[in-house]
Amino acid sequence: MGDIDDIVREFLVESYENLDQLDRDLVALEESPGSRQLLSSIFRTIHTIKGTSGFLAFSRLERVTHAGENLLVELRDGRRSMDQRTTDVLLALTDSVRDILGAIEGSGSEGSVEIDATIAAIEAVRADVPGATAAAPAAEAPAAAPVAEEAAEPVAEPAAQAEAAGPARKPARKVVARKVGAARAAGAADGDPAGGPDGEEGGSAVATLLDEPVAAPAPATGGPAGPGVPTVPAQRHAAEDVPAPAPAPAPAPAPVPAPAPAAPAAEPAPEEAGPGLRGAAETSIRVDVEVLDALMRQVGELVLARNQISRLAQGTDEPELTRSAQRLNLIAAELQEGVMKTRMQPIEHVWSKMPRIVRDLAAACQREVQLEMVGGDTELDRGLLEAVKDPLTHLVRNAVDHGIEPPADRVAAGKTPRGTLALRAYHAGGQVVVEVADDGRGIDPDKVAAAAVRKGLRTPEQVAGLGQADLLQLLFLPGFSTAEAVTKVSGRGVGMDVVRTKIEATGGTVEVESTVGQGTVWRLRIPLTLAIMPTLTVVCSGDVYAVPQVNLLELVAIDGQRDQSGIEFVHSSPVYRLRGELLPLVSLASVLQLPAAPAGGTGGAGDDEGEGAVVAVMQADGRRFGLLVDKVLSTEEIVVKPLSARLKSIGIYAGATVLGDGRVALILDVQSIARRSLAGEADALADEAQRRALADAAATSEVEQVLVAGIGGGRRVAMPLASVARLEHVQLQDVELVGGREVVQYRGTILPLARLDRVLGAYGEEEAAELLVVVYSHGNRSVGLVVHEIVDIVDDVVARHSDIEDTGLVGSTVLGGRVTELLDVRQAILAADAAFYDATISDETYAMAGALR
Amino acid sequence: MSQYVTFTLGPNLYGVDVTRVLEALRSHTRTQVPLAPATVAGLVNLRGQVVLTIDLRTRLEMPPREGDVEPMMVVVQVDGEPVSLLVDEIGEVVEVGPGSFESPPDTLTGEVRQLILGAHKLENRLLLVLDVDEAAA
Repeated sequence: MGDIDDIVREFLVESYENLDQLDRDLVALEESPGSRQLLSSIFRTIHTIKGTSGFLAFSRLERVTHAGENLLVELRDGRRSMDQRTTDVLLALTDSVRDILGAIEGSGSEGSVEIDATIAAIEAVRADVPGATAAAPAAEAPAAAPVAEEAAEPVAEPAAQAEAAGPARKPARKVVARKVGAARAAGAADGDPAGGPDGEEGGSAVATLLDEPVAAPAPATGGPAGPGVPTVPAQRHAAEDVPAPAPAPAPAPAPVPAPAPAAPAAEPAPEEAGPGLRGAAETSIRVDVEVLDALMRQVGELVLARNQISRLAQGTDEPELTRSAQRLNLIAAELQEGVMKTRMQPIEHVWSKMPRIVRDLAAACQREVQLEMVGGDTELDRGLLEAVKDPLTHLVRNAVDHGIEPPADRVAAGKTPRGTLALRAYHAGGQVVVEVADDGRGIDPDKVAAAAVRKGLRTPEQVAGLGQADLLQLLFLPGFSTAEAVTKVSGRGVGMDVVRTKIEATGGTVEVESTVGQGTVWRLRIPLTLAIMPTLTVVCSGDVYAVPQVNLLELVAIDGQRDQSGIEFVHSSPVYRLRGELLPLVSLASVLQLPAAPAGGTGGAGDDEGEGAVVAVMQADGRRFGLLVDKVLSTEEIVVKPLSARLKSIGIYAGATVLGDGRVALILDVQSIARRSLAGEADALADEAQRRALADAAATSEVEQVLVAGIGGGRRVAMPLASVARLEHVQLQDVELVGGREVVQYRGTILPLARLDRVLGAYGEEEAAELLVVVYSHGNRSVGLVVHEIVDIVDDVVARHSDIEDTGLVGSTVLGGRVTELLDVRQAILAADAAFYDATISDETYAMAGALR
Repeated sequence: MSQYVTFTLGPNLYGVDVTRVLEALRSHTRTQVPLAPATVAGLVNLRGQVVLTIDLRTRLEMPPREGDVEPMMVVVQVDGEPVSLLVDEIGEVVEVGPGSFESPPDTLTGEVRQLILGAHKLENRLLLVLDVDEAAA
């Protein structure tokens, strides 16, 4: 945006803000089609953009907004009422405006953004003005309306009255509206007192767009507009801060029909409210975010320096130094808080896009969704706000698409057809909690488990041992998506793992709670700020590490003097009895592959239940575990310094920091540690033999179909059916010899044979006159395995395999009440055709060699 | 003409393009990074900045320093970030012309060849030019 001048830049910034507001208003308007207040707000926004685009010579923008304005005028004047189609067209209009603004931002000019379609659509809506709606304005205009609207909308009441107040006001409004173009503000020469009140609309519109320099010409050209001008900056403020034009106390509760007081309700008359508003303008300024970022970094450094001074002061007896250090401590803390405040923004900024998203999505998925937003004023660091935007949007989309059922299903389940999606934000425990809750079908843990197994992310044994909460955690695995079909909306590979990664990158956590049939709550816990993190410093093998307090539940000191200090073992996994429940322990030293602590190197099986160790009880991924460290130093507020990518890829460290004594300490990524260590422990607890069997057979599938064949001598072998191409009978006299090998002519090719009885060393019956051949194919090559009889095709449960084996076998199992050997098909095939498996490669090689020749 | 900041590792003299060097200083206390690659000698606090330290001896497959020898640090800029390289002794800045440069001999093989861009023939010894980006990688 370097080459765009300041006015345009200002225009872009303001317009984007206004467009967000517009989206919100339009969706809200659909809910309450009669709201004058919303209509006025919408009209004002479009009008503002139109006015300025004319002024800045963006002709396309002007044309498209002009068309939209025409439609809005009709709506506002009550000549038509809001319906789905009108909303769609108006939303399309905002999209077009957004596109053009994007083009301006990118290139400085409007480019060739397509607007004709939008204009045509708007005109089409306007064209079929239904006669029916014409009656409505008639009813409203004659001052009767106030009564009804008063009741409905107390806030908008005066404004509504103003409109209803009579035809006399109409011209004034039009004139004032045109004033928006700043230079054209002179037009407000109407002199009617209503010019003042209505000035709110025009005036604040001007304000939203233009800075004082531009606004200044206004008084020069038009006297009546004068009063409006001093308030311009202030009004701009009001317009930004408060969506509805009703920030000011209605200063003149004059008789209702009087025209003048009507508009003041929306915005006080300039003279009366001037001083107060000007005050607001003078007390707030726009600041570049970069300046704030720099300030924040500096404060971070200051905090570090303070930590250092405090450390020094502790070591001396100088009362002066101690006092100064304490004072510095206090000031630094206040400064830090102050700077953090400047970067705080209400989460509403992110939420403002949600009504539109939900509306569009609900329409696309044929859902009925009521969006509730509670706690939008909860403030969050700007950087974090950006970081949670995408995850939140993803969760909202998910909730509409997957969470809330179609209306018919809801009714069948005894719910209201309209689902509720609630966004809630609040502060809790030094964090901001953001919830996305729906009252939809909920998540079935069993389905999750089945899906995880199907996708090969977990084995059946692994999921069998998991509780409900743990099963839901599987949702966060990369490559997981329970969507039965990939829809337009979600299931595009951006899954919950991405949500989690993004939230964790901010030092936050994601939790999910779900009750089948009742709904799902996704809970994001986000730190208040990115830059400064409260941590616990711990010692492990002589080095200091910082553990984020976000994950810390409590500390338990383990008394080294007492026998075995309460650490017990489940096989090789250390556990600790915490209030009667077993808490799995993870030794930090073994995670970091460090030698156990010098003090307590009792070293049983590498687990250091060292003397005087401390268990930091952590919570990560909805699971608890105890992190075993040598010593806990203190809590310290640290400034997170980024790690070089190479160290980050180790996956154990979230960053580094400089401690009070100037040393560098690594910040542990507790989530990753949990993920690594706890998965490992689950494995350790799983039955050893089962695991080996699983490893032998294809680790993912539980049951596979096998072909059971007799090979003589009473022995039976089983081979996977999946790779059997067909069964053939071959006459013994057709068997020929190539070298030492038996082959038969089979479908125009030569089929090498392997006699399983010979391969496996089974000797028995006489040779029959007819051979039974199991044909295996791979690519364009086949081999025949000669067996004596085909017994059956059965399901083989892999987990029941025993590892009693012999040459050519991979184990044995019981099938149909008899011990059956599991054929090592690969080896058997190689006995017939040594080149079978590299056939495809060698074929290519031959082809290449041929080409070279 | 190009200028190199020179330093020694064992018997060899190495040079790094002067424009890449931020500073040269005594070694600081390093914080070890468990599980990091062997070449990572730790993290140091450089006036409040956390800087990764690479031990060039390990990187160049040389035997470790004698126990009591304090290494020096050459802080270079790599991908916009400072990286500290541990060396034995820091020498002076030398200015050499392109005429004295030769590519590494064919007998230099293996990993180390990636790190040595070539050698400048000084009067009585060779100045080995180090590829900073490779060395810090």
